[in-house]
Amino acid sequence: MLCGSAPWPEVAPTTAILDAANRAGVRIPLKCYFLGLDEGGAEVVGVARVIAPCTWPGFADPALSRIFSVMRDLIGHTWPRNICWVEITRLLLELVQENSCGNCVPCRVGTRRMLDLVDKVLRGRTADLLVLEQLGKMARLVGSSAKCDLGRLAGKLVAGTVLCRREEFITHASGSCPGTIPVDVHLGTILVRGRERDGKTYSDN
Amino acid sequence: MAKLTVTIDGQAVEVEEGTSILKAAALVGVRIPTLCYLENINEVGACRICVVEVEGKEDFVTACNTPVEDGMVVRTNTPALRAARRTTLELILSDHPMECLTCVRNGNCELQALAAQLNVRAVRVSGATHADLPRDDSTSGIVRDPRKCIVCHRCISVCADVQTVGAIELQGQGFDAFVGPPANLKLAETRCVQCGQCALVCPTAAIVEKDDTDKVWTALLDPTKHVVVQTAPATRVTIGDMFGLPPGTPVVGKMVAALRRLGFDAVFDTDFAADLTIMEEGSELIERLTKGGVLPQFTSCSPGWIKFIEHFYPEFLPHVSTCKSPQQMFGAVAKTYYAQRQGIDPESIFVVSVMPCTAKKFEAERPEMNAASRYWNNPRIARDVDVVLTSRELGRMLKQAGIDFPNLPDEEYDEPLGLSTGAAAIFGATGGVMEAALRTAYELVTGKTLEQIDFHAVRGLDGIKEAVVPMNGINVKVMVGHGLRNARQIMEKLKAGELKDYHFIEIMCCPGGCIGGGGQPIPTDTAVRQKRIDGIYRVDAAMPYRKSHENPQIKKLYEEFLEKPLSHKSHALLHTHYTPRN
Ligand code: SF4
Ligand code: SF4
Ligand code: SF4
Ligand code: SF4
Ligand SMILES: [Zn+2]
Repeated sequence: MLCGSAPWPEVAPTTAILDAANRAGVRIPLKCYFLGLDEGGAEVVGVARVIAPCTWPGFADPALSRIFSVMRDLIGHTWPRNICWVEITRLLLELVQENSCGNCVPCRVGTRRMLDLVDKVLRGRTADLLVLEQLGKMARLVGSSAKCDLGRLAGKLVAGTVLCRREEFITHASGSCPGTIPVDVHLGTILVRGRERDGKTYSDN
Repeated sequence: MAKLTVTIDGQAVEVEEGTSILKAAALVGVRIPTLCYLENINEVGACRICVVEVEGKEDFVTACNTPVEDGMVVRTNTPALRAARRTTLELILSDHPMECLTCVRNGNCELQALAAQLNVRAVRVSGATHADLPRDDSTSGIVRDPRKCIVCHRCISVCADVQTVGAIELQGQGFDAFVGPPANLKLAETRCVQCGQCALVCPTAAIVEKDDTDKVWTALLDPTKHVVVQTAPATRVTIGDMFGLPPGTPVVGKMVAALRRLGFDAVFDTDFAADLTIMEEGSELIERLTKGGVLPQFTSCSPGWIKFIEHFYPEFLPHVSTCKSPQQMFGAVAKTYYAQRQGIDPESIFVVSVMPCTAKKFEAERPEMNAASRYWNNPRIARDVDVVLTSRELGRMLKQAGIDFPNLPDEEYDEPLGLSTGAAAIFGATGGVMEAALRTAYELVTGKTLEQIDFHAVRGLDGIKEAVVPMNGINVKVMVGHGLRNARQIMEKLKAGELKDYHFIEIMCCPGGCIGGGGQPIPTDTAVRQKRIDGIYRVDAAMPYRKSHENPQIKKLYEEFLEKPLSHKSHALLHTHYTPRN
């Protein structure tokens, strides 16, 4: 099960993530994405020994491969605190939708409904936390029921993000973005929707 | 085969290697819910409704297409699974028009049934839908309503694998994916043969027969019309399905009674025309045999098969018998011989067919099927057959009319187009046309009485069947195929020159023959097909006449009107030509 099935372990900043998880009795599946703090206190994204996207069926879009590779490359890399996980989640779902073969219900319909929910959060249109519950539930369903790794991984990534970055989603849901997408980790396709970042305005690309 | 032991919901069961979790569970009384699954045809795990938990596996697995492993411990009914199934179904319903009350599948819809079974009481997700996908009613036989499609893949599998036509596929990606012909073509613009097998397996109303019941109600009300109805061989063992009778129950007498109560002026039998077909087609075979015509001769009574060969193997059309199907022979005879004999204006005769088949709707609309118009030289007689109803449509009409079908008395067909033989009845099952032809051809060729008239070698659900029948020194070699995959296999053999010593080949478009036709009651699966086949041979065995050439009414038709098989008049009314469509 995901980190979602157990409370996120309280860990000292210096603890290696996998170790901490193990100590907390959370079995982190190989394809589980999770967040933690690195030694310097900065956030890292870990995708434990994941991803060879090119070997999965349905990976037509290089952009999707890219985002997963970047995530993989980020293991051990530090990211600034102010990264926007809601936006990353949205991007991920958009790419999954573009690449979903459309064969199974959880991926074809589920990731699309998740995308709609994330959009609601992003647009700050809902203060209703039920949206977050729904998103988390749906992500877990897709993560455990989709037919192939594309849908399953997407579900797990989102389930993990919603759980671990809950505060950020809540802030978004009520209308403000606490973070920005750092310029130096621009993923090539991330849509920065004309929002002000670091005093600069980025437009859609 | 190795035996494996698995534990399902705490019950141990021993099964053969390769058994799916779904089937293993059924052995211990556990019915795992399914939606897209169709045994042997669609085992793709698309809907994810049949998910189960397997000990040691992180994710759910689908029971329908996961083979058991030795020592496997499976749980099928945990809170997580109930939630997952329900959420998945809600996802499907969030993109489904909730029109059950006005839907043709209301009460016979697998999606509806599953929602009831899983106790879904609200759809908690919403969002974009496919509500704007256009309806496709371009063909004569079937209508697609992609809004109601749940992308279960059954039609795709049936069309591509069972029928080898491949007219519909999954288009697009992600949420935008939908099922339809490629390149936004209308179905009528593809090589779809209108067999309706897709409609037969569709769990929802996304593919249905074209509904022509209103045309029949209107005609029945019209005092200027003499409305006659003919019933196809296969319908006599299938109509009862829609009224709770066990599949395969012979209901011919009740069907006649029911049609009379609907108000038809005469209730006739396509079986009469099937006997006529045997006379013509048997004589054609004998002519080809004796005069060195193109052999093997192929049967021509299945319009799905005819459209198939016109599209895919047009170069072999000279092999196909020029005989019209019984439905079209009936229409032509009704508006000529019958009109003349009864002194009824042929223009006022309205012929309705009750058929197992959606392709028959297409057949009746073929431009050349207007023999009566040509015979009378009267352009106001448009079609030989005016409306084709599928079994399902007739069922709906009878329900609408409040006819208590199971409790009707048995009644007899009207004269003169109502008398038929057992040979005609078995037209409804694969191998039946062949058997009927053999019963007649043997006696016509040898002049001897056929003692053993049951040809078991050509009966049953094997895909391709063969027999050799000695007749006057010729060993007549025959072959029977049903379902277009088998037809294609036979055509490839023909193409490779492997069938040179065969004489007669029967092809039925639909698996099992017409008892499994695309217009038959739903469900129609292999078990149901077998029961209907059994029923039809019971009907045959009980008939006073069992050889087409013994039908006294057919003899009379030739005496009074057609003269003899393959006569000039027969050719004009009962034979046809084909259209290469490559
Ligand atoms: S998860 Fe399902 S729909 Fe998505 S790509 Fe895999 S099989 Fe296709
Ligand atoms: S297809 Fe089934 S679920 Fe859909 S509207 Fe028709 S009856 Fe209802
Ligand atoms: S009617 Fe037959 S040929 Fe046409 S799409 Fe359906 S299954 Fe395919
Ligand atoms: S049209 Fe019917 S059979 Fe075909 S995929 Fe859609 S729901 Fe399934
Ligand atoms: Zn943000």
